[in-house]
Amino acid sequence: MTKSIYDQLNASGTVAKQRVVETFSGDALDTDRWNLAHSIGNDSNSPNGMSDSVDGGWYLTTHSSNSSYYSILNFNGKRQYNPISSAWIAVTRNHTTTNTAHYAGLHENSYFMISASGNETKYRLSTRNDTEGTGNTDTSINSDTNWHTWKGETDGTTVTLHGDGVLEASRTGYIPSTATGTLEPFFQVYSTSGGTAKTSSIRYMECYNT
Amino acid sequence: MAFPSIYEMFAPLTTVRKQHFWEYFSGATLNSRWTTTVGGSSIIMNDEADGGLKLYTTSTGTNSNFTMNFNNKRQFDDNASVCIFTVNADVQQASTTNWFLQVGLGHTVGNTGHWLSAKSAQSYLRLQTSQSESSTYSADTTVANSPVWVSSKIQNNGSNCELSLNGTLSATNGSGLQTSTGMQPNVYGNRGTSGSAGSNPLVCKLQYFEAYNT
Repeated sequence: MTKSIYDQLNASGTVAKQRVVETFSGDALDTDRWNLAHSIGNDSNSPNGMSDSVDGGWYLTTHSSNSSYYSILNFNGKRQYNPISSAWIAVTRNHTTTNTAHYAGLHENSYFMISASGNETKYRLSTRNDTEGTGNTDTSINSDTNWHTWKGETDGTTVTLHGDGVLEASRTGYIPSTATGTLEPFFQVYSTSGGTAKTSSIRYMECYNT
Repeated sequence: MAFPSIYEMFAPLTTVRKQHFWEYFSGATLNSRWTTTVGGSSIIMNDEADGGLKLYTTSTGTNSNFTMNFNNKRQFDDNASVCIFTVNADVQQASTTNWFLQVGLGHTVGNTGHWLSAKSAQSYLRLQTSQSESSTYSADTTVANSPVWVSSKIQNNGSNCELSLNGTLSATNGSGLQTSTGMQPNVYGNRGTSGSAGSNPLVCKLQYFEAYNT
C-alpha cells in the first residue's frame, strides 16, 4: 500500500508541481485561500456561503437583478498555474438556465473554462487568448440545473473539456499561451440581462500543473 | 504514479463527486472551517509528535465542556455517509459522573447524531445513536475507554449505523438513529463532577477527520 499522497500523484523521482484541492466543506469559505469579489456592492449584497444541505457545497449569488452584475471567486491575482500545461477539475451547479453565465476553470485575461452563457442551450468549452481572441465549442450536455463534473486540460496546443467523464469538446484556437501569462482558479456567476438574482454552487475544485 | 488527480483517487470522472472533506489537524492554528465553543476548556494545536488537535478542560467546575462542529452547515447525509477519525480520549471513566466525549457526525451537537462514545462508568468504547437526546448505546466494544489512539469509522447506512474500531466492525445500532435531515461533524466533551478524577482534565486529541457521502 502506498503510504503517501505524493506517491499516489507523482512518479518516483518526479518533483511535484503546484496543486490545490478545495472541498468546500465546513462552516464558511476558506478566505485564507479564496478571494471573493463583486462587480458592485459587497459580500452582504451578494448572498454566499456554505450551503446547509446534503451535498450542497458553497453557493454564490449575484448582487441583484440588474444586468452585468457578477460575483467571482479567485486567488486574488496569485497566478500559479501554467497556461500551456495544466488542468482543473470542478463539480458545479448552475441554479438557473436563463440570463445566467456560469463559469469555472483557470483564467486571467486569457482562460479555458466551462461556461453556461446567457440562454445558450448547451454547456460550452470557452477559451481565450488575450492577444488573439475568444472561442466557444458546444458540448452535448444541455444547460441545466444538475451537478456536473468538469475537467479542463491544456497542453498548449489543444484544450480539452470532459463533462461527467466524457470528452465533450476540444479547441486549438484562441487558447492561453506562454505569452499571455499564468493563470489562477476561478468560479463566477454573472447575470446577463436582469430578471432575478442568479446563483451557482461548487463543491469541489482541483487545479494542477502537468 | 497511480492517479493524475485527487478526484480520481476516489472515483472516476464519470461519477459526480459528492460532498467529501478531510482534515489533518496540522498547522499553527485550527482551520477556520470549524466552529468551536469552550466553557472552562481550551482547544490548541498540540506541540508534540502525532499530537494533532487537543481539546481539553481547564476548569474543575462541573460540566466544563468544549464543542466543535460546522456551525449547523449540514452537508452530510444521515442515511448514506461515512466519517473516519483518529482519536485519543482521556475521559477518566472510573468514579466520575457525567464525563463524556462524543465524536462523529450529527445534526446537533450533544442532541442528535451518531457518535463514538467514551463516558463515565463505561470501560469500553461504544457506539451512541441519538435523536433529540434519546440515545441508544451499543454493547461494549473490545476497545478500552482509555487514552490511546484509536482509528474509528462510523458508517450511516439508513437502516443502521456501524462503528469500526482499528479496522474491525465493533458495533451496529439499528435503533436510536437520527431522523433529522443532514449531519455535520460533531465533537462534544463534557467534564461532569470531579469525583475521584480530582483536577485531571478531560482530554480529546484528534489527528484526522474525514467525512463523505456514499
